[in-house]
Amino acid sequence: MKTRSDGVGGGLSVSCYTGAVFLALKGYCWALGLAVVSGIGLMGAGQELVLGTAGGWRQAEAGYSWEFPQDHGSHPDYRIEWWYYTGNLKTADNRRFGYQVTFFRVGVDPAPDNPSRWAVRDLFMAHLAVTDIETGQHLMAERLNRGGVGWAGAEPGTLSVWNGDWTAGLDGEAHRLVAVDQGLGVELRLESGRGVTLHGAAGLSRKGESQGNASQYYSMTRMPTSGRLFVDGTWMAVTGTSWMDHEFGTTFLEPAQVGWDWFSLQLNNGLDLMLFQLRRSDGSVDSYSAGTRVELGQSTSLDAGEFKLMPVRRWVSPRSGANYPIEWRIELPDWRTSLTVEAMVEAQELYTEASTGVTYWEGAVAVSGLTAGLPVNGVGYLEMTGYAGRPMSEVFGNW
Amino acid sequence: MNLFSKFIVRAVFRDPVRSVVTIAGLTLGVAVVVAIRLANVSSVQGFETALEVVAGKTSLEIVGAGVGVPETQLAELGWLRQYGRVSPVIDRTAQIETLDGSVSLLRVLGVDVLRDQPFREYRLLRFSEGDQGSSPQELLAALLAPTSVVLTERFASRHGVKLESPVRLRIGDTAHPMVVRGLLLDEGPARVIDGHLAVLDIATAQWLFDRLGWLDRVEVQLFVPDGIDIAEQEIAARLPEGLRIQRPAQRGRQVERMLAAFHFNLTALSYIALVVGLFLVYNTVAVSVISRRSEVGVLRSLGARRSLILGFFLGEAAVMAVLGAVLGTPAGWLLAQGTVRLTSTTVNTLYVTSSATVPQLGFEDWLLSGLIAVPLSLIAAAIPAAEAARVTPLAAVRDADHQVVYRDFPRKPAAAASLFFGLGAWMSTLEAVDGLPLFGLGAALAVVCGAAALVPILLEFVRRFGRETLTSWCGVEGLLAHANLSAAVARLAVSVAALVISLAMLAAIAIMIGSFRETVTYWVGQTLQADLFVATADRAPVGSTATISTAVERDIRTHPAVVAVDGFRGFDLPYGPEGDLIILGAGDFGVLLDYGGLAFKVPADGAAAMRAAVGRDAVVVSESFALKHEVGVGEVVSLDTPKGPRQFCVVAIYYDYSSDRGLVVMDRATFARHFGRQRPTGLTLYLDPDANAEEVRTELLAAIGPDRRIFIRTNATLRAEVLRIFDSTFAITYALEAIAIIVAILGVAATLLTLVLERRRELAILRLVGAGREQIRRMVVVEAAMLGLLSQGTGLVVGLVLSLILIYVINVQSFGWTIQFHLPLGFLAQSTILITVTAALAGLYPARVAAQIVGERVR
Amino acid sequence: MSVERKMKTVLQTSNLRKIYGQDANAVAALRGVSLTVDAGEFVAVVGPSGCGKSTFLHLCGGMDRPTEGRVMVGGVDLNELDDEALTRVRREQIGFVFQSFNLLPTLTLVENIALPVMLAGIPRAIYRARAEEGARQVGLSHRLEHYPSQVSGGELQRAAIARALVHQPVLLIADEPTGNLDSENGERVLRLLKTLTSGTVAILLATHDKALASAADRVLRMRDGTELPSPESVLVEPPQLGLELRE
Repeated sequence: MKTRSDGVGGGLSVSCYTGAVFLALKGYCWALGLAVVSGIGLMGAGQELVLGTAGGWRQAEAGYSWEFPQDHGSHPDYRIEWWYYTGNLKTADNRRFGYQVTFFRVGVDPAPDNPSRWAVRDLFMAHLAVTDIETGQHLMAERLNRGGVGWAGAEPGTLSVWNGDWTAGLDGEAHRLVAVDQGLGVELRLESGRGVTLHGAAGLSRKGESQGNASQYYSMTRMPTSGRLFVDGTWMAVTGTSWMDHEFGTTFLEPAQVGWDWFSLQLNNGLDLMLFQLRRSDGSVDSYSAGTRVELGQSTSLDAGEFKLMPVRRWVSPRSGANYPIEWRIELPDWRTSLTVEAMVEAQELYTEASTGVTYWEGAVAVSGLTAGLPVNGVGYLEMTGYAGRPMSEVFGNW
Repeated sequence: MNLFSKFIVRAVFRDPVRSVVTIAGLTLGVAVVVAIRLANVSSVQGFETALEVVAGKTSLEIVGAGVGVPETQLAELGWLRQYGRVSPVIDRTAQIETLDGSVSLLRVLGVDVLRDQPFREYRLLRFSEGDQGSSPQELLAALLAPTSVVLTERFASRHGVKLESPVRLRIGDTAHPMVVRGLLLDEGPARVIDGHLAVLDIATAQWLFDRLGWLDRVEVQLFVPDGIDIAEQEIAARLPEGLRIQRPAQRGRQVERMLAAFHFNLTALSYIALVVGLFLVYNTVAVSVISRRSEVGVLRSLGARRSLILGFFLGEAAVMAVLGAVLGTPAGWLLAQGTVRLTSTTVNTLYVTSSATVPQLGFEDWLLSGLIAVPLSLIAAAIPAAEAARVTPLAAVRDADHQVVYRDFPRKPAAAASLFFGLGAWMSTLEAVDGLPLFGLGAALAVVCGAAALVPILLEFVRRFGRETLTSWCGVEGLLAHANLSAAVARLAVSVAALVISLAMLAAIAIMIGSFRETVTYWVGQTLQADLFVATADRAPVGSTATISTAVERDIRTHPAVVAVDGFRGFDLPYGPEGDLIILGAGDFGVLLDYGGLAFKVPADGAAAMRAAVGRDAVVVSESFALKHEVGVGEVVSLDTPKGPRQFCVVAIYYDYSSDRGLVVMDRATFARHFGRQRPTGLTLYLDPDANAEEVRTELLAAIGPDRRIFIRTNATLRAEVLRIFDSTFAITYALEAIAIIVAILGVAATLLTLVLERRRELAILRLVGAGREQIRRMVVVEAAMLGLLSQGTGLVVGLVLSLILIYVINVQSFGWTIQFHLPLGFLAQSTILITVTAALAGLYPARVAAQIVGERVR
Repeated sequence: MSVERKMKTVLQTSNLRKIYGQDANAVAALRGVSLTVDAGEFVAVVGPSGCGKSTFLHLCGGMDRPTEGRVMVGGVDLNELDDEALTRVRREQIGFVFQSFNLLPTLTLVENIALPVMLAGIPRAIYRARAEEGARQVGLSHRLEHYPSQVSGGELQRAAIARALVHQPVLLIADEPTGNLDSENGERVLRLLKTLTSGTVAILLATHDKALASAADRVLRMRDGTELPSPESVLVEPPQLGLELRE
């Protein structure tokens, strides 16, 4: 679209508004917020041309000094930020569930001219999903609100994020998650467990060629979890393990990075593994794919050459027609690790017609395999984007 | 019924002129009733349709006291989400300037589309295959910039607006440049109010409409729509002070109540034409009975039962009524188009802004016309028809024609007249019913009936004592005219009564309006003391909330010639158990008392009372407020404020004619304490005595600059404007009256024609003994003019009585205004001449017919 | 008959024809009647019903126009007059008396009598006096302010005679003036006619009444729209309805 190319030509980071860049930051952000962000990206570009001001957001750069628990809080200087909780839970009688609670903040205009509290500086999205492994039921709910009037927000300096009555906050060191909607809900307490792991280089996770296409990214990879879960009209006491991601940045990927497969795995030998691969439009795997190995007391960054992700079995969504690899083989040759990751329930596709119009797969997985010759198993979460609907290049091409 | 068609239907054709006139009269009568009903319906419906469409799927809405819902209270309303979805709304009107140079009025909705989509369906026009549908996000993207506006496809195509077209939204004193960022598909809300809808982001709406911190309402869409009653109660119980929950239709009902008195009076007026039409029916059937006595006698002697004869004449009336209804209904629809234009000016000026369109005619409209016209016509025809049924077979053999029987003094009408006048006097003392002057109109109706009964008496007087006068005035034609009329007193009484009634109503209304105008002129003189008046719109409806920006106010205050400025803020506030919309105003009492003037009704020293009100929770109220809500000085009114209901002491009642809804005015400091600081909606400026208002006005406009939409009026032009609005408000009244008079004059013409046709023989004799055509013609015209003059004379007297009822009963009960009685002599004199001339002109056709008659028929 | 009187012809008709309707429906009411009446002359027109008497009288009185032929009144050809002039001729030169009196029911007797002079625009004082004088002559002085409905048939016809003569016409046209009266009143009317007109006013009178006809100076016998050259019986002809309906 004309305004965009003008903006790019104009130089001053108009391109940073284009959704293609930051959408690829992470699949789920991209999946959930695509339309919002794309629209707003467009908006931003238009606005910038009109107003002639710069974007005003801070880039993710090396040298960020982390401090906790303050950095659990919001970083409003950056354009994009999310808090991402996934986990595998079970009841006392061994009924198993997967859950996902995600809070997004997407900056729109760091300093709106309009003095109204309704003027949109940030948009807040939130996503709740529960997978009932036994019944194969996958439930989801979502929230989308503007900040400013208290309907949604995130405080800096401490973990306090909310969207409507869905909240994530601190209770001492523990995280407290409350998200209840019609027909599903969680009220969970997540102990800090293994603590914080910084990804990439001291938390700076590079996503693309150009400087600044990166995010500040840390995880809490193994959080002992207890609380209750609402499904099928009843509350059930549950315990289990959760994984928390917190990531923020302003500009991310190149447009050619069209899709995304992301793994968070917790193995019974004490290893936690985060891996993501960016799929390029030509079908190849992007060199900025990366991962992190976390063992008790230490973590190791993995670059794209250090692991291989291979689809084994596929499942075609009857609804969207998307063909998702729901069983993967993961090879980390340097670590003599070979794992099979299998969806616990095939149908964990999120079909967000009413909000984002983008469809993706996100769900609980079971892990089994060998590492250093020893059998291991575990649980985790897998996210796959860019399989349904129009190719991303086309989506962006329309701009 | 073959006999019926022979006897009645043929008769209708045999005397086509009379039949046509009667049907035309009925048609007009029905048309006026239909037109006013449609116009009333459309003005409320225009508002309600817009309301409904804008309300969408909203089940309940939370409204604040007067200024709206403070947005900070939203945080306290988080619990609402357990009942349903919640969407805050700014709902306003604004003018839009498009590139084609036109300016249109738009309903502007400021919403948070992320929240609002389930409430209202917005679907954007797709511009290419690749476009997504209309997700909230896409709408938000379209709306986010403070210059973004989404219009409708329908509006856009009409005004050549395209995506990215620049437009200007005129809000308050500012014309905001905007860019069209989306077009709503021509369906649903975008369609129903004819595309006059604009959607803004709520932040933009707050900013542009000077509503920062405020919402017009918060809408709730219940998860369980069936549980609305319980939800409404529960929410009402939990709402903080200052907020109320209601159903969207409530606002429609408020508007309906607000317009009720205005519409009621219009409806009552509209029936005058119908009543006159019914007189025509009576007259026609009566003439038909008289002229066919012998035929009836023959039928009776051949064995026809009384009921058959009754049926014949009722049938004749029914045929005419049905024709009148069938023709009158579509005619009324056409008339309504014009009426709407006339009344909507009033409604928009005095009450609410609505884009009224006349609804299409439905089956029920036709049915209703029939149900009004047929039974009433049958009742009107029943009297002469019953008389026909009493005709004995003897009438067939006795030549009853051409016999002029002079009766004694008409006692029965005299008794009826006194009865009616007594009834009217009694009813004029009764109270209003639910704010509607039912008894007042009853009294007026009684006077009208009394006047009708008076007519035969008057005609009798004229018959007995008028011949000399008329002969000396008009010579032999006068003598002959008088002789003719004297012979037809009984028959003429009905047509003259109809004319008398219409003329009486005209006189009454003229006197009422004249008095009202005089009163308003006096009031304007007393009240409008300021030198300049600043407003944001040319003709803002009362209670308009378009505000004057700080920049403009600063420019004005800094002008050296401006000595004092009084900022006025007014808005609608529901009051009392029924939630009647009153106008709450705030002004600077100090400035008003030092420089301005109010005309106080009570107490005598209202100014002192008002000065004492400053700094206290005290208010002054308008006369109509005091009357409608029965509040006196020293009493307390309870007003909803954002902090809940608060008590205010009434310290004075002042005369006000700007709105019948009632005004409550407090000092700006008191206002700010309870309602928060609000920008003024109007400024009144007091200038240095040496300054020339016109020059200051020009200088101020220059200082403010052409980009601001500011209207500054001098005292003189505002006074003229007030009277102009006044006159346009009453234009419809005169229009209705004119129609009634046309119907009535048609009646007189028809009656004269009948008389002429019946008198063929006498006319022939006249010709024979040497009367020229011209003399015959003149004679008939003199008859007509005489009837006109007589009717007007009587009408004036009766109208005077009616005007007293209008002014002192109906007006007070409907609007709560004190009107000083004043006779508009000039108008009355002019109308007398006009009516006489018109009646004489109406006699021209019968006169022409009469002049055609030649002596050949005489034997 | 003196030469002088012969010289003063009041009414002259020549070959007077009147056809009602057109083409196939045409009915001839008069088939060429020529008559001359001098001042002061009393001419009776007799004939059966439908013989054309009334039509003839109407043409002579300027109430209708002939299809063919001429009517001269006081030397003026009525054919050449427009409506207004014809009205003036009627108002000034002709008086009418009818079988059914034809007084205006809405006017008093004196007003009825005064009507022709009133219509001629004569001042009130004068016409009033003349009407009263006329009333006196026909013996109605005591009935001046009565309405027609309040007096007897004989009185009505006397009033009609007074009205016919109040403007001093030269020609009095009377159509069965006694037809609605008993014989006593009929005679009285005849007497009045003769005395009031004696010598000055020409009378053209249509009648069935042989007694009345016998009082005339001359009798015009008619049948089938034409005059009969010699006296003969007039009572044997059947009525011709088609003609009678015209009236």
